Amino acid sequence: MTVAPLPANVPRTSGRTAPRLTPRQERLLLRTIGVVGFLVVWELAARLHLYNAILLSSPSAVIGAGFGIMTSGTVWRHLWASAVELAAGLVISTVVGVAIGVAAGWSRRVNYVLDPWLTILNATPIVALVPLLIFLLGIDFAAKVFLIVLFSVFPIALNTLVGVEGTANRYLGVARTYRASNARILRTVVMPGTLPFILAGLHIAVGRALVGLVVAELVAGNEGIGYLLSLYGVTLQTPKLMFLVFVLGLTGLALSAAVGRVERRLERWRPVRR
Amino acid sequence: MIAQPKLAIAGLQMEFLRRRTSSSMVVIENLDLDIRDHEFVTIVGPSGCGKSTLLNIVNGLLSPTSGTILIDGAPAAARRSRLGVVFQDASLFPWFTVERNVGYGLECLGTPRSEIRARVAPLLEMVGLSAFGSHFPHELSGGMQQRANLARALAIDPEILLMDEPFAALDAQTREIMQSELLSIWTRTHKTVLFITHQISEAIYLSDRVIVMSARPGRILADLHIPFDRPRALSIKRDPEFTAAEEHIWELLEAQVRSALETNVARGG
Repeated sequence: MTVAPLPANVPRTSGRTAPRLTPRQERLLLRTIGVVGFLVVWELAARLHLYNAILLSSPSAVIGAGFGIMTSGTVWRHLWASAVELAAGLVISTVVGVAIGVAAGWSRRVNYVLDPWLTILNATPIVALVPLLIFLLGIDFAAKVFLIVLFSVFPIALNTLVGVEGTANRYLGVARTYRASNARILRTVVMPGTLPFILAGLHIAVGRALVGLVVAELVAGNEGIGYLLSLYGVTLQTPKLMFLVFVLGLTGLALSAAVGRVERRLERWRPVRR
Repeated sequence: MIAQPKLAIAGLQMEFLRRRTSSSMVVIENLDLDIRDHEFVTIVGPSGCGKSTLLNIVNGLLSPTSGTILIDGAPAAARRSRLGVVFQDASLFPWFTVERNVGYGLECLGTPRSEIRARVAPLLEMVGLSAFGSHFPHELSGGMQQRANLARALAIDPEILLMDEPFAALDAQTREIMQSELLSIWTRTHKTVLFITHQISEAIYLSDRVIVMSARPGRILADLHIPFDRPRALSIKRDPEFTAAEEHIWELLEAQVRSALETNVARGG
């Protein structure tokens, strides 16, 4: 848990004393003001016609549109399609990324071969490859999953690599002393020590996979959340579009929170020092 | 007929190649050492004299340039699964519970899980950690961690126990207690022990024999028999005979420590 700084310079008013807030209450209050305040200003600006509401919509319109499309039924097909692509992409990325990272971290020779490509591709904006990939692979399910994997596999592979390489020599020495086989060393020494690194990679990968998903569907295909985004965009259905953006944001948040939950379970053996 | 030594080291030579100058550095020079069954032998020497290297060679983590190592008269390579090693500190796997750590050697030998449990329980009892089996290492004090370390080494019922400065990271009081606990455990299990330390009083208190090593290249300067009766109380450390032995070993070591210091300074650290 993070500790909020103590409130500085609380004015000592004479007479009527304002109720003092604990740091936690203060944090909650300010956060709420930040979020709600922004929404109120946005809504007011729309109602007062300070801008063209067709272009920027308003919170109430977005909520209304959300109810509308969630109850209409057709949207679920698109959300489901996207969810399946995202899940398949993340699972493949994790499996492939961990495998590459372990191989390159364990064997120096594999490392020499793979490392330049991992570094280059991790630094390359994968978006730049999208036109070529659509041309080569088409627009089917597999192509979209492949794109998501390309977006998200490198942070997992590189983090795993760092974790495996960092396996402390003293633990390897202990395992070798007890004549542990390589497979056992991998399972009982290397992987437990690397798991925190894999999860850190997964944190980054989740965000990148969402980008990959939207990009893939924006440019290719006739279903999915990205397809809807582009449809609502060209037909100027801004409230619906914004609602989908909100759904994407929530998805990213939920996936990050899920990774965070697994990370907290590790704290049983890995005490967090702050 | 003289009984066959439990561990026989003969003509051991260890050289490390220095890449930069393509010369070799002799770390251990022509070392012979026999250790009898059930004997507690301690090696003391200045830092960098090759004590830990010697242990790693016996343990098989390093291969010597030349020389032989026999366990019960057979080449050590075939018998290494019967060596128990206690490392300096923090060598318990932090991601396993104390119980899983202690059973790790057995796990590697393919012992069934139920049997591991049955063998680990009395060991935890012996080192006073029965209540901590399901704890993780970071929840234990340094002394408790080293007890778990000892239990892990004993779990495979080793023929020889190798101990590489196991108490070096402990505070002075805990260290004393651990020394006497080690002796009482040794009395019960009666393993052959090769122990490495740089603390002279620790060496004398624990051992049947103290081997004094020279500064690099490591050679044996003296092989001293320690005559005190067992069981030994910690109070014998104040016995005039004990302090005389301490004095004697320190005299042997002092020049070595000074020369080790000088070579280290000359090498820039």
